[in-house]
Amino acid sequence: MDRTVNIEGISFESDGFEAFANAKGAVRDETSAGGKRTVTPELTEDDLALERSLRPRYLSDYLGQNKVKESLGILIEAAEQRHEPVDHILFSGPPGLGKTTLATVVANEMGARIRTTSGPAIERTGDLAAILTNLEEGDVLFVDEIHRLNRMVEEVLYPALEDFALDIVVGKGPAARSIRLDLPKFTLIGATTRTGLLTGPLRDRFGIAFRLSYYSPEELAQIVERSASILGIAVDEDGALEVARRSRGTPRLANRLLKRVRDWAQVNGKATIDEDVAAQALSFFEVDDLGLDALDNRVLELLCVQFSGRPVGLSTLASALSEDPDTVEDVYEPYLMQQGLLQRTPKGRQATARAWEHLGMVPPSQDA
Amino acid sequence: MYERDYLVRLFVEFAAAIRRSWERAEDEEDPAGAADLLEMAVGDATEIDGATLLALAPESIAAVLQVSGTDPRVIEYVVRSLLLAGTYRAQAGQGALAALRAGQARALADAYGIKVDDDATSRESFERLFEESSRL
Repeated sequence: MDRTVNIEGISFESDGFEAFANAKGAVRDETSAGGKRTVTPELTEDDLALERSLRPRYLSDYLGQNKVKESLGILIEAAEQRHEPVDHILFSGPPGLGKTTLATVVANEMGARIRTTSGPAIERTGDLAAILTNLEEGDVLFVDEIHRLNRMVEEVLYPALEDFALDIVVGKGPAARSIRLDLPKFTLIGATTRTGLLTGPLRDRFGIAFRLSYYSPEELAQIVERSASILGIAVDEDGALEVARRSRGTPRLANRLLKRVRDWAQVNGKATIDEDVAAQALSFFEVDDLGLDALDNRVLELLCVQFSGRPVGLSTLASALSEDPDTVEDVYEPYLMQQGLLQRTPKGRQATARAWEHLGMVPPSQDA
Repeated sequence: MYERDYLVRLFVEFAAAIRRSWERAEDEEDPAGAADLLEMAVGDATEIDGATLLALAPESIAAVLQVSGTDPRVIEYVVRSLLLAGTYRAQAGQGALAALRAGQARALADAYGIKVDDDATSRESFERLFEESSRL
């Protein structure tokens, strides 16, 4: 029977999506600086509706992350043969790579219900007790941003994960004693973008941990073609690849860019998205051939032009961008570093030879 | 004797909390605050962290209170307080919490074989309960 429970700020439903939206709202507020960019991998309002229709439901629909898929397939099959829930799973990796999707895929493959919440939404131990005691045998509990669970809540989670039990203290002072309440056997799926922030004891309680990696342009092109067919967008192979190349290895971004390209093509009377249409549309939206947007390019211009290629301290760079240092460090730098455009040196941030080349400029040493 | 004193003290505290909740809900027009008072009283009476206890699923709250050996006479107060808190939560527009409190009250009543009348949350009914308790 479908149930919806909303207890003091935590809500979770049989399909988990509304709760996911609520939980993500809190997370999104804190990353609002990145939220307005076309190329941010963070979840936006637009993405929610889009992802709802595009999310693969089973492993066979899921494209990319082949090693993870294979391992999950074995894990699920073995658990089904034993008539047991799947062991607790941890998915880690940058935003937008499909951690939530994989959690729903696992639940679907097991024929289980999924309850969705997030670390910051579980403020008190009572909140977690509510969630755990409302689970049913075989349910999947998905906790997004699990590294943001508070320590008190984490302590309650340990016996729940190991022994499927909830310890409740009854009485006060010397008369206090603990009552152990049995919980149904369930599977916890945790997702995190910051594995390093997970405590050792929590990490150790997951039976298996998967690190999701960025997608290749070819894998992303398949995702773009699949999404286009679901959304009724005509896109050819080269057009899909062009969108994929500029999507920073991130499916969420690829789907978002596909929508922007569709808009551009529609307004400009292009029936099919081919390579040329995709390139023109994405250039219009200031997403260049490396997937960099205007802000990324502004960072590179500052390093190469304004600071003449010299190493620049984080706070100086942040001031020049009118951003706070955390945003620069968490939002702009990772992709620039992955692309080999920016390096962190002991003296500060510095543009690489590839960055100069990308801007069509010559580094000072060669200039002189 | 000690047990009787202990129970009487609990009933007096419960009665005081219920009366305060009436004032809070009706005179001060603060049904959510009234529900908070009742929920706090339930936590105090059962000596279980109220935030944890009242977050549990209905079947679980019944199981915990049964295992903890809470006196059935206290449970009747708990059941009625939860029903009243549910009414206040509904008045405050907190529909999901109201349903949860009602569910918890029903599960407890079933587990302890307590009969809950339609007027279980009326002032008259509560006054009768206070009167019966005072004759303990």
